[in-house]
Amino acid sequence: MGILEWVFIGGLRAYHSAMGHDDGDGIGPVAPGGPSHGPSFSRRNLLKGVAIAGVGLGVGAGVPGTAGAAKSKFPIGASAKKSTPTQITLWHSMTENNLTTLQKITNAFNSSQPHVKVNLLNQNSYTDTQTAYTTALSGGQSKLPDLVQWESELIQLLIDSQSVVPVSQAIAADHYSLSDFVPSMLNFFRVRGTLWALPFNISSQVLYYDENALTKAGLDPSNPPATLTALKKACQKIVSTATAKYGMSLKLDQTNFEQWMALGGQTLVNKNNGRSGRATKVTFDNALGKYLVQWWATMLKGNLAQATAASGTGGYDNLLAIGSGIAPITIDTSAALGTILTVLQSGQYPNVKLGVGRLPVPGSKPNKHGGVYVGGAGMYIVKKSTPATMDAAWQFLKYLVAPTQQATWALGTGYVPVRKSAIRIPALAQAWASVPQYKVAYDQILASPVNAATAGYVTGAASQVDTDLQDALTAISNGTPPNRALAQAAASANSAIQSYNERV
Amino acid sequence: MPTADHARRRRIWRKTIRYAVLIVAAAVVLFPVYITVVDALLSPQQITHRPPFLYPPSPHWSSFATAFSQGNLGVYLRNSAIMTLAIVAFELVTSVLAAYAFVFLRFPGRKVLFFVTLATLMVPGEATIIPNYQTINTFGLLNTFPALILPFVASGIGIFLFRQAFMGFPSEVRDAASLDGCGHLKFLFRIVVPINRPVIGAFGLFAFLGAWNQYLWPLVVTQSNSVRTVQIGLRQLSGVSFSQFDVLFAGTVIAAAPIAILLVLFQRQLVAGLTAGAVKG
Repeated sequence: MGILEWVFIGGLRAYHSAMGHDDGDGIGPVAPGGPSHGPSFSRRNLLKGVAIAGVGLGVGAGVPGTAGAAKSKFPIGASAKKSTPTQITLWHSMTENNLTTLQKITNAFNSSQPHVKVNLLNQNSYTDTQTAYTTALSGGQSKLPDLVQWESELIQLLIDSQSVVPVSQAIAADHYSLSDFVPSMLNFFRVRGTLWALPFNISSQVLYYDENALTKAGLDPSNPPATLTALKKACQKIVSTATAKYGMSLKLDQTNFEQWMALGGQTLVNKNNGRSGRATKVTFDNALGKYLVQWWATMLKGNLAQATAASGTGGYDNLLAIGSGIAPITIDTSAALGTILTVLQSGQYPNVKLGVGRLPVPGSKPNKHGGVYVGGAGMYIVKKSTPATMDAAWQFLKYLVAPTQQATWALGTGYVPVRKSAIRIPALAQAWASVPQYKVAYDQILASPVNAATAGYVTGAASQVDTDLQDALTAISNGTPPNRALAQAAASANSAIQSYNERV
Repeated sequence: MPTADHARRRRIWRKTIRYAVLIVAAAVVLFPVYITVVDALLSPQQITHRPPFLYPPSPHWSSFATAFSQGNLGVYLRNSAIMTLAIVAFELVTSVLAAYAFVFLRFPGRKVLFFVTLATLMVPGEATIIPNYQTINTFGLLNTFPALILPFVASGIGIFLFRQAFMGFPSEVRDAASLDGCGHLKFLFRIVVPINRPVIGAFGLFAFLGAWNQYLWPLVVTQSNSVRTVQIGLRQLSGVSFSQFDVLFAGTVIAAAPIAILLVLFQRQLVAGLTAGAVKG
């Protein structure tokens, strides 16, 4: 991640200088969206430039309820005033079923109204989207897409690029209601009071297990372990009854650690998880963090759990271990559920009966301030030069997150809907009634209270912090004392955060 | 003659050991390639089966057709071919001309220029992406074939390699040729290039490999599928899930096939050319 992050910062710098020179003297080619006005977007002149573009920076522009204070200038309705359709582009990272469903929704939108035509561009993965976006920034606003699907945890990078308009501006100008959205999902995309994106494809970590194996070990499959203490006991029982070689597979994925911190009601970085100000250091090396790495080490040491790879070719090993009966429990993203069910339906693992449970909480009882935060991605409106494209992006975004489309999206992909009323739409309601496993991730996110811990952490160095935590988990699985591994991760993450903050 | 017999036996032994080591090494290198082909011919269920299948019990070839249609590989392969052939052609011409100048012409700043050329080898490609992007953007060439090709029309490695090879050329021949009224271009293309064909061929192959396998640059300068290349198409296929692993493997085989064919055809030239470049000079 080091190089990419470096490139990103490089991109920011290049972008600022490019906006000050290339576009300013009109050498740059004119994009279909129209010429960019605004003589200079350099950091120093940012406020001035923004005023010229008629955009407004939006710091402090709140969400409805708190809004009204800042009179937003988001050009609502600009695309409908034009005689020709406004063309906009969405950069996304969806493949296979997800892509098919996104294309279907987009086609429906294009034919439903005459004002906006949306083109999809597949950038393959979140990482590649980041690289392509960063590079395009250096070419000026006109090279950017109008909407971008951006991995949730990289939110601060996009905010710092100063290239997106917070959706709270559009929301305020359009008097758009957020009351039907799942609160903890919005919570994630809100930084320092500003809502930057709308959640689009949302997933969550859940517990996967083979009900038959649990029954065999004398456990109740309808009542899966809800705490880490219970999970450990269940694994002990699976091993002691020789039901399987290991109790469970633990993916060497820092996401689990991060979610457990949130479930325990604790932040990962200071300044309220980076929500009230720019985070300056990590907080995950506290008592809960130490408990978590200790738990992790105990599970691996006693053969209660096997460690499996977080990604790459071994990324499915934890799921395959359920199939082969080596380890009947694991934790993975709810986005994998569709794939798992497809494989099970193929009849390859006739002895497996899949159960899905909520992610177990740390300790032996739930914390009332704790809850999971969302994974997946949000949709951001890019700050473009013409009011029509910005408005067109907002119109399409509203369509994407409307209850009907969210029901279609959830049905086609396995992501959870971002709207509460979407689950009452008959097609989705019926599907979830027949496959109740799909509903677990949604219920879990819905149950999450709204506070700093459950908002998830925000820092521009998020990918480095992730890597440090993942290194710690890997080191523990190789025998490093857990507290030492955690302290190392904290030290390394602190310097990454510090160096990011110095560069921005 | 016991000593001769002894020596012969020792030679045979040495050869046997050498081949045994080579066979093991070849197996290690080729096994992943073999498994990729096998997996392309298995069903998705068979791919995730443990223990894994080492050969396809009932090969199904449909995965190749699916990869071609679903992955849009026809267009991508064509685009890759256009980009790669253009890059190779440009790199060969510019490298040969520049190397010739460095070896046979005397001009002020020759040494400095050569060191500047060498210095370009030290800059990692990733570091040049943003400046290159800005240049291409300023020319208004984003999302076109020239955007894919222009940054690679000259190669520091090519110039260096050819210069080393040309330097082994006896200067008497050059003197004799010029006495006979042979100009620079005629001398270059009639005498220097034909003699150095192995080096030039080897470099051409490497240039082909490098260009064909490019990913990051094509990704950032293209914004529509009509100019995107096969490596991007392959990445799009690799996003598919479990249920389509066979298609992903088939796509990988298709994308790697042109390179594999070239390597087999020109393997001899490749090895000869590399050593030629290495020892002369």
